[in-house]
Amino acid sequence: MLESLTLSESIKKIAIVDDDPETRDLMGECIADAHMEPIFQNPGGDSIEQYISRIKKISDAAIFDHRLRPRNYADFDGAEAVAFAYQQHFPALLTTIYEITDIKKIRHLRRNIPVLIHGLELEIDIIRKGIKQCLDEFSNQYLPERKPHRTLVRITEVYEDSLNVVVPAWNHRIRLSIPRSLIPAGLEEHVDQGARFTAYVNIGASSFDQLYFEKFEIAKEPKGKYAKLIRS
Amino acid sequence: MVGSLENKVNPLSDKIVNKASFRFSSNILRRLGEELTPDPSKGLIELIKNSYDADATQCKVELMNTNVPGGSIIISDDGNGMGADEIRDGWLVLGRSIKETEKRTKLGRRPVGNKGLGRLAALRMGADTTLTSIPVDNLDLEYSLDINWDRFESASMVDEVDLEIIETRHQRENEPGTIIMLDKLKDGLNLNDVKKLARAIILLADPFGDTPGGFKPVLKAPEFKDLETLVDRKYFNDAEFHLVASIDEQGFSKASAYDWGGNELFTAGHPDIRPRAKDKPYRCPAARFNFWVFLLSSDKFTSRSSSIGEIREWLRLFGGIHLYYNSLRVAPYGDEGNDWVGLNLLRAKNPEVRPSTNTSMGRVEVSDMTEVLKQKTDRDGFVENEAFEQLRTFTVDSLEWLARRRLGEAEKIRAKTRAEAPKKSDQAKEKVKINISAIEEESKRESLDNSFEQYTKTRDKEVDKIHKEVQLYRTLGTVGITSAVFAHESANNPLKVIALAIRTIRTRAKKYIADKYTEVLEKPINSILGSLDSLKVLANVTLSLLDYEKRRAGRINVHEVINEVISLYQPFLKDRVTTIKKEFDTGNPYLRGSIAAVESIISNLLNNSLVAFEQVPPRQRIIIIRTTIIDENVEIRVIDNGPGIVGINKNDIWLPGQTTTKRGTGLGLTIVKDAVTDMGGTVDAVEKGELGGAEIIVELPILGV
Repeated sequence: MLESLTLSESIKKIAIVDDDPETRDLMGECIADAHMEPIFQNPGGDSIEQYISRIKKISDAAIFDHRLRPRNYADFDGAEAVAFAYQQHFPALLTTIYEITDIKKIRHLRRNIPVLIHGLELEIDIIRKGIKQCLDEFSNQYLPERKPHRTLVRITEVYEDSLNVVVPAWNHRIRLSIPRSLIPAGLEEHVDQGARFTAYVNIGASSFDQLYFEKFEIAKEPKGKYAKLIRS
Repeated sequence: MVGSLENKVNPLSDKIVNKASFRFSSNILRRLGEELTPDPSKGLIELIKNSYDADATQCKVELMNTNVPGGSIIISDDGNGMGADEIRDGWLVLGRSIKETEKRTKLGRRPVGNKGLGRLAALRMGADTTLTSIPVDNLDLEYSLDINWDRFESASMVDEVDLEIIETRHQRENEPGTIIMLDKLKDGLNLNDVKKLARAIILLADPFGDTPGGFKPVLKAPEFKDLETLVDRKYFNDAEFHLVASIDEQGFSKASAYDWGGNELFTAGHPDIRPRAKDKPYRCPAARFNFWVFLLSSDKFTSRSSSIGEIREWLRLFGGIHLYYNSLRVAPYGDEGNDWVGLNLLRAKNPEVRPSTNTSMGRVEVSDMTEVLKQKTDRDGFVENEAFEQLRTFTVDSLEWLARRRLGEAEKIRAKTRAEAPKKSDQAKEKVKINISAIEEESKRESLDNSFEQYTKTRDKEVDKIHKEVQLYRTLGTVGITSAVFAHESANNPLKVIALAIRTIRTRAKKYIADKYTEVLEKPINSILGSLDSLKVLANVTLSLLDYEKRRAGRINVHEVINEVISLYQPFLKDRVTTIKKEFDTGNPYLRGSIAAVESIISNLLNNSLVAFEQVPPRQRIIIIRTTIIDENVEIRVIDNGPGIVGINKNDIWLPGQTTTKRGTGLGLTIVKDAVTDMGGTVDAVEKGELGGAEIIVELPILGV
């Protein structure tokens, strides 16, 4: 199936943004094997906006490694760059080798990171499929696991910077840790153990790391004939 | 809903045959009373709180022949008393929440308003309850009410039993107040019950405060007298440190620490106390936190007036951090076994500068005008909402601040001592040698010389051993730090390069040697990809164990953590052909602690079993993890079919550095024991357990199931 997947003619050049030269070279070869052109542009001291605008001019899509700071390769993280590119409708994929810690840190950006590829699973078919997914989302076609649904989110624990929540429509048994900053400042006073909000969540997500949350609102009291039953 | 139904009644075809309402079975009184508040002292405390709300200055609890069933308890106060209406519409009404905290009583008290369920439990302690009250506004009238609980037992519904309030007019005016007599007690109170009650009563009205507030409940029992004498002693001047911290109405904090002489040592503002959220106020009511730290070592006590023994006993009875809410104490905070700010957990991080519940005493006073803190229905502490969590965070932050400042001081002293110690030791040694050489009798001199030589050798050996142990801890600490900082870096790039390279090889091989690929390259390439998956898991184990949030104290579901550790270990278990059998008790036992602590217990016990399996011939390797809920504890048994505990005394397995394998560090079980002890639990071991191998038993106190 994957072999038959082809990208539109518009994707010919892919920018590779990784702080490790060896990884960059190999990914370049991988892209070249698929008859596309790898583009290498050192971010230097660019801001995210400057860098995305630079690579947009010379490439059709990009793959970012998440950790670009440890070796002083860029002034930003890959996740921030991918989220910004997504808002600009520029297809960008994120790769990372870490799971738990990184996923927690990028949860607030996850809505705008359509594809997160584990560093050990990078290969051309997955890259192709990821770019296609970005393009589809730009034209509002979502995979079931990425489609946002307005749903109930219940707070189970409140911490200084994070909240534990349950999304019953996704899995009523799993408590998820989300950054407190996802709740808009105006709703902060409603944050309390047991408080219920509605939010747009991709409840079709097959795993915890894919979940995103946006557009939080206070859950309204149930109305209508059976409201009392629901509330009790 | 009812209104709309009535509107639908059609007078031509319908008629109302009966008007109905909810009724309550008499059993509900037992359920609400004894079952919700099973502890008699808790119920009696609620009665005393009623006296406080009635502006009483004295409240006396008398025990009469209570050591056996059939005795009586009399609770009397000099408060405002109640009239017939107040008895009927207030005292006899159960379950109503009186939210009048903002309205103060005539004496300026904020009512501690309760739902009356604790009161019900206390009233039902006896077969008969008699209430007599003289209201302050009618001093010649007396109201009384007799409740015979047997009548409720024989009735099927609560409303079938009529209660009569009798008014008696006296010739002259009497003092106002209320007397409640609980007669024909169903159970006797044993010595422990009385001690517990005495402690609860004595602590209720903040005996340690500067302004006790004019309310003094007393228990007429010898146990109370002893405690009262002790509580009045207030050994605060013997504390090494005194911390005073507070939060203002806006949620900003400040703190000062004083030495035992009352001299100010350190002060701090909000940013120092809350360095990680300098600008954020605490979202909880205004509070004041006093905390006294005692250093119970003899060298610190040589110049003090009190003995260590006295203070130790005093701390045993009254130690811990108590919580006073609008002037009255809220149990169980500060009770034995209730370490609500995690003092013992914090101590584990740095025992040198952090006190434990046995060496400190504190009180948090909260003034809550708007009832942001909500007491649980069973009167067992507060609902753990955000305001309570923030109050706890403030308390912990203040303690952390004190510890940081003390750590700085301790570090200075340590550096100095470290530099001076060898010098001092050499000087002392030299002195002893001179003294020995001064002995005239040669045989004696030689014998002493030899003995001293032997002693110094043994001592040097011991010092050497301790050095090695310290070195081992340092090395393991370094391994941990290095893993935390670089594990991802070292794993990330080379692994990614290998993965990319092998996938490129696969793509190209399929393209260029298409027909031969399966035969020549598929197997080795798949092996490399499979191994990469295992390495991926390994990197994640390290990172997962290091997760910052896991070290945060909170509500921990024991089964959840065990399941997570097992799934984390799955690749290693598979690799070592080991099967785990989970035998969990029903329910979800939970406790307050950090995930990291429970995880370290389970991980180290699994490591222990996996290493032990290496010492026995190949066979099916099995580890059972069994949980059993016993009263207020969860017992976790890790049982394996390894060789069992051999070659070492089972009591020594917990000591640091004790191991029977060459690769072992001998620290795993020490960490288990330390973690369990910090959580208030116990450990035990069986040499040859149920499966023939070792069986480790960990018992942890839980908050609920």
